[in-house]
Amino acid sequence: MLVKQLTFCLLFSSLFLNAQEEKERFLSITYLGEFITHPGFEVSYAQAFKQISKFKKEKEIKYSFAYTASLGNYIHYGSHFGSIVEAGIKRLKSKGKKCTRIVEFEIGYFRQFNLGETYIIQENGSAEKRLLTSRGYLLPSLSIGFASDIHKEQPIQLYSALKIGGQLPYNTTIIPRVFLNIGITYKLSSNEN
Amino acid sequence: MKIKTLLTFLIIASFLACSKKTALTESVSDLIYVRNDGADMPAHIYGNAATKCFNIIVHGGPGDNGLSYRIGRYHSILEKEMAMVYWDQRGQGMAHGHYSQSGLNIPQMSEDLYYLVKSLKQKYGEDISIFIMGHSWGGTLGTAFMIDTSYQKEVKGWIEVDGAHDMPLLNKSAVEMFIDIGESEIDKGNNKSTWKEIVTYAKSLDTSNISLNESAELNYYSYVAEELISEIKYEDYNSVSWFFSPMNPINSAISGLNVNTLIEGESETINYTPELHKIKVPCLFLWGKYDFNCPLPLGQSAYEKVGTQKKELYVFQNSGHSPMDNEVDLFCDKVIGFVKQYK
Repeated sequence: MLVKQLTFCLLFSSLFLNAQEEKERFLSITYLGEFITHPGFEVSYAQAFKQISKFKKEKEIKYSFAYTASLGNYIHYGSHFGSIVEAGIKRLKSKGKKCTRIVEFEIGYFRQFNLGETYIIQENGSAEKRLLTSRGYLLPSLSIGFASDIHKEQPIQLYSALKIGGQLPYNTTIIPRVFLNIGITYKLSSNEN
Repeated sequence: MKIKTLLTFLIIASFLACSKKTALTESVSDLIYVRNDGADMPAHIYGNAATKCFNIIVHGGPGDNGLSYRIGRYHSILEKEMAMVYWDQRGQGMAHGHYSQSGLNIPQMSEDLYYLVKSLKQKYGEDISIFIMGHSWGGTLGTAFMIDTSYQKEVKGWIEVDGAHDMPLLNKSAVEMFIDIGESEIDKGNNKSTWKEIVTYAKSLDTSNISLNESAELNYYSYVAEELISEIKYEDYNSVSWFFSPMNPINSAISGLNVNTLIEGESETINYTPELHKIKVPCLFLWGKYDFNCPLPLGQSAYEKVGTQKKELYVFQNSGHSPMDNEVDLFCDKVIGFVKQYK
């Protein structure tokens, strides 16, 4: 399982190897609440690959498009433990410097670990007991969030987002998943200033 | 040093994981999963396992979940006397996995229940006494389990609570009940307009040829009618913690709806009455007098047809489809008495 996750991480991180010029890079650490209250945490990294500035009524509107990669875990007590590796693209839209609106689409690999013992029924009808068995799923998701500067001089932003995804194939179909992210984003570097 | 500590921990953990039996205490709170044919199905076990009596609730629906039977007051009474097993059937509640739609059928779900029984015995010991208690759709699935002689020998008894093991009889009885009780209530002047609507609909049906849509309509009217009966008393439920429960209510509702739709063709036409004679273990049939959903003739028919003399039919005079919620203490007395008698 760990090997699978590492492979995913490596594959996703390779997306960023072609970024030669310095663009905005962000590191976020957030509370990850599956169904809001099933607690966990997420670490994500974003690297801008395109930045556009437009002026509307003399105000600058800045758009950034970034590749993202993230790793999250949560626990649903009495049910399961979830581990998610995701990669995607996000669009950041900011008017001035205070607040940034973020829309993100990700494709994830979701591993659902059963809490408690699992009795796995074998071909011959016997049951083999194992701990922390798991199953893998795909998890495409769309999230909408906001980031706002804590301080003018500090490259730290408060970040919150609501993510809606679909876990599939789940039983015979797909099941929606809702996640809440609240945390901080640290701006690692920028090509502006 | 760290590696040594880690290795020691892993060895101890492996040893514990491989131990044969779990301690049978008076207040177990366990969670196990059964993985069978593509599905991981959770079973929450709460209550007095020191009695070595385990009662598996086969939930209703199809589309409900095991833990929805742990919100009424009855659960705390029963858990003092036995260990209650709240199992999520495949595709429902928090059960997850991957399988095709053809993997969702009654024989498969019945097999899942069999392997749950085997897993409980593996966990708690072969000498535990297991009872199956099916409510509504759980009465269908439970009956499917019980008529398989290789399955039923693994359990000590069968408790059917307002179960749906014979859909043609169910539909016919429901129509008759709507008309009989409806006309009586109209004569008394009680809720005349609603009863007239129900009676008119019931009279429009050909009971020998009821379609899936009509069956769904009857199901809907059964809940409407039950609410009109003043004799039925309801206790307050414990409030359900949506956000801090082991159950995700959105998952459960969506999964349940999906299963209900997929299995409807099979579940709405099933008739196990010709095979009830195969049930040889002790049986307890618990029925609400005013159950329009699974009317009393089903309980009477099952009582007459099962192949055992160790049987009882009890009719709750102030209950509808869920006597465990309507006459809590009496319901618990019946279940506890049966389990103690045949454990």
